[in-house]
Parts: sequence; C-alpha cells; structure tokens
Amino acid sequence: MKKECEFFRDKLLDYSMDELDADIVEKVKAHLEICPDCWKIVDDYKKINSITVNVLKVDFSDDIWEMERKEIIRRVTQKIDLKKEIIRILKILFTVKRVLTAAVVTILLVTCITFGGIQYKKNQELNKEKIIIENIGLLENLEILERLDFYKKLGEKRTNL
Amino acid sequence: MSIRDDREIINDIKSGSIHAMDELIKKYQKRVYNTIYGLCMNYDVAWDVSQDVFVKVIKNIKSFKEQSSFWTYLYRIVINAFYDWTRKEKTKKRATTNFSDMTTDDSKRSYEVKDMINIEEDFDRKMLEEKVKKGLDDLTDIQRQVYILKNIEGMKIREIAELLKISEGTVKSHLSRAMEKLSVILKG
Repeated sequence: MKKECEFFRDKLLDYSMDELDADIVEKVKAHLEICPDCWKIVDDYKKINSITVNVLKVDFSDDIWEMERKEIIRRVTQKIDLKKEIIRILKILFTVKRVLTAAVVTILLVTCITFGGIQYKKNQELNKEKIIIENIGLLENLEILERLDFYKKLGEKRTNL
Repeated sequence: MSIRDDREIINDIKSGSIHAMDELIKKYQKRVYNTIYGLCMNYDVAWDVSQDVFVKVIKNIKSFKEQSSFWTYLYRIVINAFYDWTRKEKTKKRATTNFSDMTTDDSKRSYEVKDMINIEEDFDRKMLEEKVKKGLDDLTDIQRQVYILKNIEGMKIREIAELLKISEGTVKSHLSRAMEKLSVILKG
C-alpha cells in the first residue's frame, strides 16, 4: 500500500457515507482521481449501499399506506371505545356497590336493633322471674317461721296446763 | 396543505382528533415500516409490528413529554416492539433463529403483504434479495440497526450515536464491520 493511501484508507468509508468535513472531502476526491485502488474501495462501498438500500427500501402504492392507516386508527378507536366502556361499567358497579353497601349497613343496623331489643326484653323477664322466685322463697321462709312460732306457743301452753 | 409541526399534531391527538392521528401516521409510517423491514426482512412482520407500534404510540401519546424529538421517541418504541416480537416468536418457535423465516399471526390478516408490493420478482432481484438477507442476518442487532439508520434513514453518525446512546466511534466501528460483512457476502 502506498504511504498516501494509508492516510486515506480509514476515511474512505466516511467519504462514501458523506460524513467528512468539506476540506477533507476535497483531499479525498483529489486522491481518488489518481489512485485506482482507493477509487475501487469507494466504488465497492457505494455499490453495496446502493444494492442494500434498493432491497431494503420498501414502498407501497398510496392506497396501501392509506389502508394501513385506516387499520391502525380502527384498532386505536376500538381500544378507546373499550376503555370508555370499561370505565362506564366500573362507574355503574361503583354506584351499585354504594347502594348495596348502604342496604347491607341498614339491614345490619335493623337486625342489631331488633336482636338487641329482644335480648333486652328477655333479660328483663329473667330478672322479673328471679325476683318472683326470691319473693316466693321469702314467703316460704315466713310460713316456716310462723309455723315454728305456732308450735312453740302450743308447746308453752301444754307446759302451763 | 402545509406540513404541521409534530408538537401541534400531538396536541391535537391528545385532544382526541382522529384526523391528527392519520396525519402523524402518514408522516412516519414509511420510516417505521422500512426500519422494521430492514431489521427482519419480512413484509408481513414489518406490517404487523409497525401497526402495533402506532397503536401503542397513539394509546400512550400522553407519555410523550417532548424532551426529545418525536422520531427519537418513536424509534425507541419501534426497537422495543420489534425485539418484544422476536422474543415472543422465539419462545413460540424455539427452533427458528432466522428473522426472515418467521411469520406473524396471519389469522388477524386475510392478505399477504408481499402480494401488495410493486416489485418485479425477477430472478436477479430474488438472488440479490437473498444475498442481502443473508448479509443482514450475519450482522449483530446493533450493527444492523446502525447500518439501517445510516443508509435507509440517512442519519448522520452524530445523530445515530445520540439516538442509540453510544459514542460516535462505536457507531463508526459498527458501520465499518457491517460494511465488511456485507461486502464479503455480496461479492461472494
């Protein structure tokens, strides 16, 4: 390789890709005019790029691109509609949930109050029964005492006779 | 009709304008399709993945904060969608490693995309296409991306480095290796 070529070789790819500063471009151009080896390298780079770009750049007719856009927009609007529908259903569910919660709380309150009332009445009746039993006991005790007193007096009368 | 700024179009999409959606897709659909086609060399895959990309982009348009250009934002989504798709495909068909052999779920589409293309299916072109496919299959993912961005998108090395978040030197090195590999295959 010529000494001059060594300087230019690592710039040839940048040159073929239009990445060099204007002043260096001029120097490369001048060198390419006198160096067939470097010119061949640049030519190969350009050919490779041209082939790959030709194969890789795909274009459809305008109506095909329009068809793609319509399909994308259809999918987007479908998703937006679905989102709106979900939000609407969720709102309904939240409203229903709120109503249901209020109903459940009311039922619970009514049940608690009813059972509380029944329990309170039961307790009161039990207390009454207890008092009655206690009173009956007292009456029985009084009767026993009266009897004992009667027998005592009877005993005293017999002794006096 | 004048070409509107991306920001204006995006603001209209955020407000729910269907016309703005169409405008944005029209502006970028060829770039998106060609980028994906360059990565997989399969017309059907490029068609389906590019549709998925736009559906995702429009659905999540509010997440675009305008900190970068819209193309930078879109390109990242394109790359993520493409690799998501290849991951899914590879899981489905573990034996397949070649992108160009993969197919998409045709049940969603009642037509073959390659039937709609205006190319002359002559023998020379077929051969050339096969060679380019083989050459691109031999490139690494990043080499393929860099090569496509440079040669199909016509981006500058500085812009590619910024987009892919790598140094300009690394971009140059990938380009040079890609060119070497393609050169060997196309000359062979």
